[in-house]
Amino acid sequence: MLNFQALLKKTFLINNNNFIHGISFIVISLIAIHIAIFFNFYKFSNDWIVGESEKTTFIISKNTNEKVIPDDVTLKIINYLEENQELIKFKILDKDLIQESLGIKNIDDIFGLSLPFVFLIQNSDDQVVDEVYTSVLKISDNRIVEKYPHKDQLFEVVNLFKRIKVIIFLMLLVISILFAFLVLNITKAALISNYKFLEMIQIMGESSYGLSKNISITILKRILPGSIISIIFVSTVSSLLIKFLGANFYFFSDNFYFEQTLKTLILLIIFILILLALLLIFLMIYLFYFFEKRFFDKV
Amino acid sequence: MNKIPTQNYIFSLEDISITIKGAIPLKVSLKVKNGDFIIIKGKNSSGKSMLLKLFYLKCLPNKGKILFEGNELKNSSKHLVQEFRKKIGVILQNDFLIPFLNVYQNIEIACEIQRNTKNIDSRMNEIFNWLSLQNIKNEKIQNLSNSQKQKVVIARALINNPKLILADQPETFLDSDFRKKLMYLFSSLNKLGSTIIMTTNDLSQFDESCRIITLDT
Repeated sequence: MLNFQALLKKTFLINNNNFIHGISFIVISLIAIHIAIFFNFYKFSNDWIVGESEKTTFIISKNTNEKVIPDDVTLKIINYLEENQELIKFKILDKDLIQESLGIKNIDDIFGLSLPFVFLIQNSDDQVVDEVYTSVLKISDNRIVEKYPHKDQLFEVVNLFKRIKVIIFLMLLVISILFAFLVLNITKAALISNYKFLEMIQIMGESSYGLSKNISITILKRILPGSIISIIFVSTVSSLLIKFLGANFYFFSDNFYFEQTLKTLILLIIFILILLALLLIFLMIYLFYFFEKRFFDKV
Repeated sequence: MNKIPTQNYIFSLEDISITIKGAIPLKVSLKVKNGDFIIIKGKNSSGKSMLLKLFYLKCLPNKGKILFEGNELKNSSKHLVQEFRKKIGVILQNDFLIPFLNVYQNIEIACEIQRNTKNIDSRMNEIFNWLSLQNIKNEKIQNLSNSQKQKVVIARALINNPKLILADQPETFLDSDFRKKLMYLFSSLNKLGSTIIMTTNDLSQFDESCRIITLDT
């Protein structure tokens, strides 16, 4: 039995088959790249912001009569932090690290520069941070202790990240719309060149809905191979880039790397499926309108 | 939709105005009963094909109204039109056949679209014998002559035993022997109860029982 779908497959867009496969591969790859970047950047920026907003820097300054903070005070603070390291993550910013980051390495050898004792802790609970502050103040014998929560400094960075995300999303949207219009134009050309055949089917009693559904599925089936290859291509390339260039700072272990690659692949598949479903609906509406408009001729 | 009493009329065209390029609009009022055999004749470009279009409900007239099986043809009656079109067989001039499919497959399309796939092989054999297509049933359309293609178009229109047959100059490309055979076939189908409306320039094959409508523009 000749299937109507199979018939359309044989009739519709046969001359443009390779072109459609190629163009769908290129454009879906572009869309998939944007999705991969969007999600990796989204994850990276979110993780980074969350991590960063939990951090608080403590600066303990020496008394006016001291050249440096005495070692026993710094030792007491380190001991206190180590005792509580199950509760709070901490990092001591030693002299070399501060000087290096400020670009003044070896300068104290000449000028006898003395730096404050600086450390940072990571905890999202404000109460814990306040407790640390009180304890450090006590341990440091009422030396000046300053506390700088990092979240106060993050406003600008969050804004920047948001802008980058919006730009990536807009690019994704523009490419998707361009792709939809490209498919629409190819479909329109195919409709015009096959109009006699389609009119004959309409005269035989096929409904506009039936025609639009079958043609849309036929077109989508032509786009599908390119889409599948592009998903595989983009997910392979993005995972290789992450693996070899270390583009994502959060892949410490192989397990996590594998999990993340799989997650990206699943996300890509879901998004491409949504995109194709939207394209199918869009095509069906357009084709339904096309056939409804030509259902009757006016005399 | 409200049914309008029609006394066995399949069609009723009331004050339809057909506009043909460069000619005075043609006014048509016509009733077609079940079992009628109507021949529409006229000069070239006199509106024969356009009138036939009204019967397969392809045209929605600006003026006048068309009643089919008691329903008025309106923009909103598309579903009824689709169902009606599934029950008719249409033979058009330069009708479209799919060149890379064979004769059998081209005819099969009509069965698929009109959802009539029961006993397809026996119906096919019957129609192939009627129209002498048995030897070329596996031949691709692109390899056929014009007369063979015309026979395939006729076979496709008749495969579902339509109660209404609409034919636009079906004798085109056929030789005189086959024209006679075709008109005999149409007469037989008409006697079996089918309604036939056709346009033609060749009236030599018809008897007086046919209703002949002449278009003068």
